Amino acid sequence: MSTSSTRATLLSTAYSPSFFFGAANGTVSYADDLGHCTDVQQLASSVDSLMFYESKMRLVIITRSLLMTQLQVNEDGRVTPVMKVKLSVAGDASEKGVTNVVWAGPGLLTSACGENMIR
Amino acid sequence: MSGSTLFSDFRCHPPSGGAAEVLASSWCTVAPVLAVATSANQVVFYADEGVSREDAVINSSANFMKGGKPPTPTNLQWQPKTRAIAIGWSSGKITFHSYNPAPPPPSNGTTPNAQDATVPARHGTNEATPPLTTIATNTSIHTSPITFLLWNPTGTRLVTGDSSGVCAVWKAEKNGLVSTIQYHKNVSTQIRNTQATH
Repeated sequence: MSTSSTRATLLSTAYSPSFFFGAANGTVSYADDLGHCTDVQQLASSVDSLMFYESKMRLVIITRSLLMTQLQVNEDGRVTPVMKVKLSVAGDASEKGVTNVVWAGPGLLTSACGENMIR
Repeated sequence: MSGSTLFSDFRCHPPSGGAAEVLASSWCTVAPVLAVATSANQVVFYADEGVSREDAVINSSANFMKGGKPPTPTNLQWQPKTRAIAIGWSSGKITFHSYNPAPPPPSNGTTPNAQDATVPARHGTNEATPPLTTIATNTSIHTSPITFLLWNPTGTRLVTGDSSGVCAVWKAEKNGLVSTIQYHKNVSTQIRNTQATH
């Protein structure tokens, strides 16, 4: 993306910043200030964490079934699935869900999921 | 990632005494202040090194009508680049506060450059101005427990969601007030998580 188009995007989003949200039924929605709200993805189970990977314009989603899905975000908010990985976590994370996830660095996620360590 | 990291263990004792579960926490982006939501229905503030700011506690029962269980703070986040904090409660209430702790009183006169990270050991002189002021309270948009609360990176918008599926966008005005812009009702489902793109 060129600098000018980045600026244009930022300018347009300055008036109507957009955001994604995930729901317990697995729906991922894209919405903005103006009342637009569209479901962009339907996942099989509850969305436990949802992170935006800004440098690659990707959404990283972890669902209750421990499936990590990466979605490429287009300019207009539509998404295309790029990767699906099944996570392996010991203990009862599959019941409680993986909700404590933060970025440790660019492209590196850390999670605390009820074990005696941080993954 | 390079360089070493120093991990220090500081115990935070809630002002109410006893033990309370930490439900959510958020670091202020412009001051070394940590806000912590606890299961004791309080939001407490800590300076770095775990020193409790006893002059600033947000209590849910203070302005809660009699009867029923007092709401618990469920989510909180400092507004980026400011000393204001938005808090979501289990009653669905959204509150917005500004936090301006008085600098610790020096021996004589005031020094504006004083860091407020020291122990508020004796502060009798600045008692007149409470460090916490409630800027806005809203109970009409959400009626179920707040499940998420997130500022956009520039601090101009706040997005909140509750367990009945209501998602609201709030605008931060120049005078610090937040007002609803739009809300999306999606009753069938519980809204879990959100992420602002810009």
